[in-house]
Amino acid sequence: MSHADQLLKIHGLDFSYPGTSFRLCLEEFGLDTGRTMALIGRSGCGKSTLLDLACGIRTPQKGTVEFEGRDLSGIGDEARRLLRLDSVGLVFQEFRLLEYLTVLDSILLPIRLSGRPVTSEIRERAHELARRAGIQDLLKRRPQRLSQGERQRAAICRALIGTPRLVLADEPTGNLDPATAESVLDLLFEQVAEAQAALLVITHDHEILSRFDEVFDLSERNLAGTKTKAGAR
Amino acid sequence: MSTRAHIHAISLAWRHLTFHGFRSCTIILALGISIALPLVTGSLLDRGETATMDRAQATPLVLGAPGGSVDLVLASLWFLPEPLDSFAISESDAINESQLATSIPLSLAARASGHPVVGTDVEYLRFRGRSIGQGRSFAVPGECVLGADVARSTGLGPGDVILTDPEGLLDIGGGYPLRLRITGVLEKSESADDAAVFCDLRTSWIIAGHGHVHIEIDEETDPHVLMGENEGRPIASSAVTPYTELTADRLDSLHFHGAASDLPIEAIIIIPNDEKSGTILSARLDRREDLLLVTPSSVVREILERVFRVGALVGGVLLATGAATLAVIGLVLVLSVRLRKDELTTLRMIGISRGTYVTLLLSEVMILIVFAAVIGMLAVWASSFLPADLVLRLAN
Repeated sequence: MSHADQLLKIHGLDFSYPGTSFRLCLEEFGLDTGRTMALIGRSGCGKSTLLDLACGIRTPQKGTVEFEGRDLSGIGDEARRLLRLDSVGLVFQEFRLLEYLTVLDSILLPIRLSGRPVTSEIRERAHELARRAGIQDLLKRRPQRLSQGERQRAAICRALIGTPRLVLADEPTGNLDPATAESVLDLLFEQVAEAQAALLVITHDHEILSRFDEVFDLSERNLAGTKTKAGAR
Repeated sequence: MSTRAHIHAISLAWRHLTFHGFRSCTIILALGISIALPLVTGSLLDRGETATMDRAQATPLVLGAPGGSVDLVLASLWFLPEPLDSFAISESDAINESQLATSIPLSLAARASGHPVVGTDVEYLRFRGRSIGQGRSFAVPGECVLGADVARSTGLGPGDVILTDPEGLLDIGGGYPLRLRITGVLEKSESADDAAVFCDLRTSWIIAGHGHVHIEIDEETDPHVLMGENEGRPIASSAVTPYTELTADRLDSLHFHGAASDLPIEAIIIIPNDEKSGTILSARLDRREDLLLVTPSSVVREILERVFRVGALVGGVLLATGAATLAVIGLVLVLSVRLRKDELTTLRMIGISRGTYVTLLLSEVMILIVFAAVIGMLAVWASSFLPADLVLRLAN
């Protein structure tokens, strides 16, 4: 894989939460465009922190996190925010849908927060994503009237509406029963492949690891070890 | 691009508030009441002061029996049910004969359907500048005109009748209520006259039992009423009407007991011909120990000073209450933000800008304040329909 294809590259990372003994140290980490990677490791080893660093929610004290060759530490909060809106899709274990928004409005939320107009093309894309996720009939419903699986499908559509180049998912199937988890993963893989995006998924489910192109065990690769999980997410 | 994000933040704020409709309405109501109470109180006090003072200043002097000057002014200007002693109507005649002033006698003891019945003469209506909206003025005993509010609340008008209230339910020996024929309704004047019934002085005296008519009954026309005879006088049964009505044929038999000059009134409005006449008349009447002469504007100024001192205190209490309410609402909003930590974190993670985030939170507060302010304004507007002299009435 050439350097030009490398979407996410982390080098010499050293990160700690102030006031805690948690520390995440990584010599090298890379994720190429169009590839899928499972991120595994013991609880508290820093998997969620790595996801935050990968999309610029946090910045390391040392080392570099490059997104498409740009060092996220050097571009400022506003640029990192815009990068998240334009290039990154986030899927959370607890779905994080706003209770007062309908499914359609939830899917369109990143577009609206970015200040871009919701054109008919974007609206069509939202409907298309919902159709592929099998929730096209639920677009006017609010989260309280959705099943867990339907909520995660809506959350995946929200992550993909902006056609991101990187999708980060933090235990997206952690709250789902096995059958629903399987179908949600199918949707995620299918949509990411279609968008030719890279996918980085935190998971504790070793049964699904074979579906990923790569598996990264953070417990083994964190040079700081996992002495404590205080402050780590 | 940024403007669109801010507009969307306002939309998100609106959706959040409508989703939590009950909570939002509760906050709006609490905030609205906090805004409305001081405004309504202030408005009522201002209007009350203006209306009260205007009426007092339009009434140069009031004469009454010795007693409280406040009671005399409240009863003679606002027809409030104050306990006043009476004095002879001859005092009114004497003032007129002095050619120093015009006197308008007032009899204030009676009530009809709970409204004050003011026995006076038509000069009173001219003096106050009242005009008849429907029908005509009272002309003979037994007729009355209604104030606009009385007509509205009772649904009565010219051609109808209104019964005076009995003096006391247990006073079985007392006079019968009088059935007053309504000849007209006054134009609304936004004054105490709207809430009163006006009639001739003789009518008031009949109500009070100082005069009466005789009702003829005979066996042919009233067989169910006539029980028998006693020394040539008919004895009426209890089927006789439980009220008195002054019909044209009965007016011939109307008569008053005692000298006409001794018949009682409760107050006289005195309108001096000029300042000098007023001074002379005041000097004469001030010497009288059996009478009380007051200048309503002075008395009302004294009343208002007391009322507004209380008003200022109430205003202070309301402001303190408002401040406490605002503090509680502030706390509710802070707690609400804390409860919404996950939601706000999600928005930040997705990529909401700091400015849009601030817009989201501020617009929620602004929407609540705007709706509360609307409630406050509505309350002030609604309070404008309350009587201008409400404060005076409540203070009494």
